[in-house]
Amino acid sequence: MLFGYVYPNEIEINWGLFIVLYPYLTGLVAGAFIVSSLYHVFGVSDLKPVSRLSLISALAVLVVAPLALISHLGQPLRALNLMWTPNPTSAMAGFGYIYSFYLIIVVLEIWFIYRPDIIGFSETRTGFAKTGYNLLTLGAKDVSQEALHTDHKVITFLAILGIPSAAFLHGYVGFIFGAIKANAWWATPLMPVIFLLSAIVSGIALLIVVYAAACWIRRKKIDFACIMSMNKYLWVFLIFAFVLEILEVIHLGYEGKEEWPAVRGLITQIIPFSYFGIQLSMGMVVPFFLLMFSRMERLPVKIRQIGTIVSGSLVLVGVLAMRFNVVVGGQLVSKSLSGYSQFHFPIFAEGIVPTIGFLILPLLILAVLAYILPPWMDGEEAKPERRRGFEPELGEPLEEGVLATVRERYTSTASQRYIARTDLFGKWREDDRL
Amino acid sequence: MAGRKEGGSSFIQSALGRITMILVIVVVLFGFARQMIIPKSFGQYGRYRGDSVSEVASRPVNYAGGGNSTCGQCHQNVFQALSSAEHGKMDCQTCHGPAAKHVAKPSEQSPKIEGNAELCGACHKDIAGRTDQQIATVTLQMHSGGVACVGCHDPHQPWAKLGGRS
Repeated sequence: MLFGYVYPNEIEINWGLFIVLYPYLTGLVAGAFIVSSLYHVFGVSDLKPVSRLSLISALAVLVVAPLALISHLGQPLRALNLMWTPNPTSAMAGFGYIYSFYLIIVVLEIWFIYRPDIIGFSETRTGFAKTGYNLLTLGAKDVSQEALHTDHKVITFLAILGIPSAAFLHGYVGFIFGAIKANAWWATPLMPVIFLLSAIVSGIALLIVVYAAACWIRRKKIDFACIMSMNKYLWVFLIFAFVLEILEVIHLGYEGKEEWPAVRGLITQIIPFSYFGIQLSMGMVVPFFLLMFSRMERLPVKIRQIGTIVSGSLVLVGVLAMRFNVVVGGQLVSKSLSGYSQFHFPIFAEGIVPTIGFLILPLLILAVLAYILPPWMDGEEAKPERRRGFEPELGEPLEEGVLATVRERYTSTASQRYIARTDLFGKWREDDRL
Repeated sequence: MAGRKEGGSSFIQSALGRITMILVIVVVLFGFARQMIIPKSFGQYGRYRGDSVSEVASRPVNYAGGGNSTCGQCHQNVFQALSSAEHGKMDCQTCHGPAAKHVAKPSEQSPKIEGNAELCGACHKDIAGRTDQQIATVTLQMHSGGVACVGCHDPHQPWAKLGGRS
């Protein structure tokens, strides 16, 4: 189905669902990293329960993001040409280096944060796992107070460096779209900022959902202060994201240049459901009020938690719709400004099935990562207890020595130092007396 | 005042030292790999492999140069008929295919032509964005029902067999 006048080369929509996924996934990465930085740099101590989970999630999503791009391009053997001979005048060619730089920062921060745990596992585990953890220590097994202090400084440095990197990685994705002057729906200098804010929003939403799901799977109590803190940040960033997204359209309409009728037609006739229905109403307005109600203290805790988690899920769907409306929507407007093409959802090749696969894959990677590097901050193992209601006392002997050892570490002097290290930024000096 | 313990905690054995070491190794290896992989002639003319120009130039010639007048040297009647008709500005090789070998050995090699409706449809098929104002378009099935276009139209003078254009 075509509407009005469409040029022959606009009939096929070249950037399909995989290109929708790419800004969505990098956005989740950037947002999750910002959450970890809120804790590591800005000292939001309520976010401690997700301070590690956020980094692990960021890494899990980060490794999938280029897969969507490579699958779209269909020439995986040429992918590395981007690293060997990138064109310096092409924004798109910057991906290889920007992505690699960010990947290195995330991996390094995770490694430094997990270093005491990895060393602990390399001592307590047996067999293949022991070898693996030994390799992961890279031979640096010094967990003296001095070494941990250095680690702490490095972590803070990486977290600070990571904020502009995350902003750059995702702002750059927005720049690719915003800099295409021939496309009325894309071309705005606001695009990098819009992308960045929706990225932060989606990252916080992802963490709310992942954290709640992890607590449910592990049969742990959700840390209420933590989820309410995420509620607050999600709400604040949601306002900024909403204002900017609306502002861009209002600006286009008020200017009323020759491309406005085409854009107005796009959002009112071609994609009204996914734009007004999902992106703005379900993905922003409804979560805005739901998050606000979830902050009302007279409501029961359970209701407030559910309200926050539901808002997180809605925001995740809404941001995905936003990526779709930008990436695909922009290609539906004919360059003649007097016609529209239509997008068909394929099933297999670059279609719905592999797209769902790419959305599930980060969760699987996250599960594996969480198994290897438990991000839980309640001093427990990654695996849920075998028997329900089985709560071993500290020091009580267990069949699997691991659980007892790990718990024990949290009561020894060394582990108290470790807890102090992972505690609030700036408290290091006070905790030296432990 | 903890001080250094056991004398073994030099920078290279510390966590930061290990990471620095690995990063340096990765960067150096990447630099070497880049030197090895980038073709020697890359960037000679532009952001592509310079040797590719001479490689492409050295491939055998398929198309005869000189335009339609080259064909007209032998095929005078067809050349004159074509020049005055609708397709007059088209190159003979657009439909007849590459003819360099035919020019070299006229009696042994003759250019092959696919005389079906698809060949004409490449330009004349009715698709979105191609209007009748630009070029005469038809819906192939409705127009001929699968009969080859050349049954009615002479490609060199499309309307000659049909008594001229109305």
